[in-house]
Amino acid sequence: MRTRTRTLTGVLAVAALVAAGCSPTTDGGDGADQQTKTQSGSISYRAADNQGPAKPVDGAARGGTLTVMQPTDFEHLDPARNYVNTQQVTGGQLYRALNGYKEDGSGKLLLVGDLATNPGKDVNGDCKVWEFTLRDGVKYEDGSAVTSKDVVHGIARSFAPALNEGPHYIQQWLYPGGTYNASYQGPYDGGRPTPDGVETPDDRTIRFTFPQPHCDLPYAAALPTSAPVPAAKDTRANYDLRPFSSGPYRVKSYQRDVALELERNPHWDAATDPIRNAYPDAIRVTFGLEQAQISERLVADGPADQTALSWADVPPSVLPRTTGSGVADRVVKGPTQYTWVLSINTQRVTDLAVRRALNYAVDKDALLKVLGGQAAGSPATTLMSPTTAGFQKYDLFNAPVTGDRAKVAELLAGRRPKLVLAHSSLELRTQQAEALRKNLTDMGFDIVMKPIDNSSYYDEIGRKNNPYDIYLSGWGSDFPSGSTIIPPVYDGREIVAEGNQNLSYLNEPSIGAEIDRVRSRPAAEQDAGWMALDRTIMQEYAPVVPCYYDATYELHGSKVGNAFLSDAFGIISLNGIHVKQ
Amino acid sequence: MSDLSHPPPVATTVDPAAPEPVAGTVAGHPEIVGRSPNQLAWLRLKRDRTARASAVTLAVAAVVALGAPLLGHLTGIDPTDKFVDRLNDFGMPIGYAGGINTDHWLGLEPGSGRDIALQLVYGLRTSLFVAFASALLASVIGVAVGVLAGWARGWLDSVVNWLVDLTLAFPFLIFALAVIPILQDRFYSDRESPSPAFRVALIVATFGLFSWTYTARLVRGQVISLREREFVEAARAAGAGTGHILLRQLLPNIWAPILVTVSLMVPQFIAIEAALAFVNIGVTEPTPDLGRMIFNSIGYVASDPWYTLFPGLTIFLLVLAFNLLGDALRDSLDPRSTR
Repeated sequence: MRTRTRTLTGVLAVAALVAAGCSPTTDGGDGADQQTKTQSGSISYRAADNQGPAKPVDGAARGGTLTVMQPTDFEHLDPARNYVNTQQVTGGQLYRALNGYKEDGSGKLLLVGDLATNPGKDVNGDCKVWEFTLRDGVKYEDGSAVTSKDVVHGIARSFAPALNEGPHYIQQWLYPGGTYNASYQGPYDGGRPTPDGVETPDDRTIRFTFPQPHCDLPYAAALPTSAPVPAAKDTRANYDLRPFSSGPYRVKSYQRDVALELERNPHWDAATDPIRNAYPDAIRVTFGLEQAQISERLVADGPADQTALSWADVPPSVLPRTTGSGVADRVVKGPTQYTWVLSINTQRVTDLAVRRALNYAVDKDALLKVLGGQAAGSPATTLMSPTTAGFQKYDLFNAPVTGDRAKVAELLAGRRPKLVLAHSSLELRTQQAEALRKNLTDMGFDIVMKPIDNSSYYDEIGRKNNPYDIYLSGWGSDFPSGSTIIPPVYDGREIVAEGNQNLSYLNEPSIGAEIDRVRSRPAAEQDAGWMALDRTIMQEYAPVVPCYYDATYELHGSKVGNAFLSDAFGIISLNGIHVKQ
Repeated sequence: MSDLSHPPPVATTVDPAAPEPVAGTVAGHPEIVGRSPNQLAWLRLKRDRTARASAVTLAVAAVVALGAPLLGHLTGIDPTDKFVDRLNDFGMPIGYAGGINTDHWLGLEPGSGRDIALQLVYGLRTSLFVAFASALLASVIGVAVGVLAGWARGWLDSVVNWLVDLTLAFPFLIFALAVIPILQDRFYSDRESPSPAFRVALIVATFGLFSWTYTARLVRGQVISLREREFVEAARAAGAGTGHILLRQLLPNIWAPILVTVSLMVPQFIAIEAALAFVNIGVTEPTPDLGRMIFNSIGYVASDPWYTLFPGLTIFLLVLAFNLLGDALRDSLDPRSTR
């Protein structure tokens, strides 16, 4: 999943100069050290987990309107184009994919069947043929039944070049080798209604047949591209504005850049849904306020904002004001699936000693404090985040968090490498880059800073022949398995001319071979394989400097109940949320 | 400001070509002292308390700005030094009043942990230089174009007027946003970062390119009104060339309003330079800059007001002092405008 960007644009906050000088600022922030939560993600075939309705939340009652305040509008709500966590959580209230994540806020993450009765049946036990059976009684907003044909239409249209923004795991697996939609381009303009390898023997069954084994298909089937789209209701590009609802809510009105209002889908039956409680009568997502304004309003907790929350991280300037009583208990924080690394362009920095020296040199503390310290994350030493299944912490370099000067000097042996540091021109990213420049200059490197406009930052560093040496980037898994981290980011065979995810451009055949070997293992054994490969990559090639595990720090109003951090999406979950009356 | 005990002389025509002695300013003064208009202006300026206070403020700012490296030497701190260990887990400075202590006289910046005093002093240097250089450039262009238009008249005057209208209609910010990055790319490769001097020069050039119009119009009007006057006729009759008339006869008569426009342009440029930093085309990291510092600090007004206070206060005092001095200068140079 591409990164969320932490934006902080200047706001002319017309606030009085508060007498903040009366008490000293102390070390320790809010005191509580953020514990690293390791996810216990698993796929559950237990009938109890897969049966609706969802377990009731203590003290929750139906009713009320929940408000979500967001700085910017969603890019896409169309299930075929939905690839950003905030959109997926919102979309998850409108449509149901084959599978979904069942969470209760305790850190237990279960993958269960959503539209399907269970997370998918491996027909021959070789992970090549998978079968899903749809639940009985799942209805669209007009009362008609959801059929397997609609799910297939949803998958077929995700091949269309015009709707290409979504995740393409299943698509790529159906058509391996080359671009996912090279030979099949969706059902539009005379295309076949069904892609190869997808069958619907009856209205309630879908069967996928892949040329290669894919044991993590249940996870891929939880992505929104497997949500049903009836062909008759498919408005192609306009579907973004009004997806046809199969979930507990439907779109009441959607004014781009202003607000999205959801109301109940009267035909949704709680008994068919093991995941969603759908307590609020309506959900209203508003767009356009600055991040700092949103946080200030949630801190103030005025009557209009008591039933509101935001998925935007509290900006550093507002953080110190979230520790007081009445505010601290409305903070939702925790690690997300993103790891931020300083990618080293291995096409240019070919000397392993320099790459290792960088690993000893980077002051991770300074990078984090620019963003708000422990609220923004914790120092990283691995490629995968602690939320990945099978995560085991290791630290190859054992450098202090502010860097190890002696080791750097030893590895550089009198040289002074000149490195070009590319960074996004956003204010906070510029500050981070400046912190890095100062830090690395002190450590014995010559650093040239190159600002790049934020909207084209990932495009620029994603060009294979980019002229830069080092750059910060974040990557988060699409599902809690190393298979969505190591292969896309460290497999040299995935390097293309533009739009790369492998930003260190490390092209080592041995890593590719190991990736293939781990992939062919059963799902349960893959986790340890990915973790071992994570360590091997750092040990042998050091293509990046792991900088920090991203954390989220969000606020909600005092009348929002059961607001917990979704481990699957890294933001507050809407599934069990309720409005206190 | 207004000097009631010394009312300005009545009906003064400021013609240095014919500097008639002015009557003593105090009624009943035993002797009549001869003073040139410049001397009179200087006298009026000296008596103006606001002008004195503003001048002292600006002098202090200039000394502090020029002495920035000295302060760095004295404290042993570089403006880009980061004291991250003095920040708490949220990145806020530890201690009272934004981390003020004997080492860090104005505290530390939250997030980066840089010393505010050093950033401020070095930033002041950048901002003052940009503002002064831009004002100077704009005035030079403005005077040259204005004199040319006023003296030539005819089609050249029309062309210049049209050019002024065009420049005034051109959106400054869009131009700056479009041109500055392109020029940087033109002169520096992908792997080089533009030198601070180049960036500053670009900003000064952009300001100069857009701010000469006011001076040009002013000078053109003055030249048109003066060129038909008797002293110019006399000079021409005496056989003076165009160069002599422009430089020796006309220019000395219009420098007063030019000086005033310069003094008013400087604070304006300080403010605009700060605005440019808002859109990331001003002076960029790691060069310290007052405008950018203010931009960064605004978000902290509620959580760390000290960070906002010091740069904000500095720019407030600077702009106020320049404006008041400009006003006083205008009052003293043009006695008719006294209240």
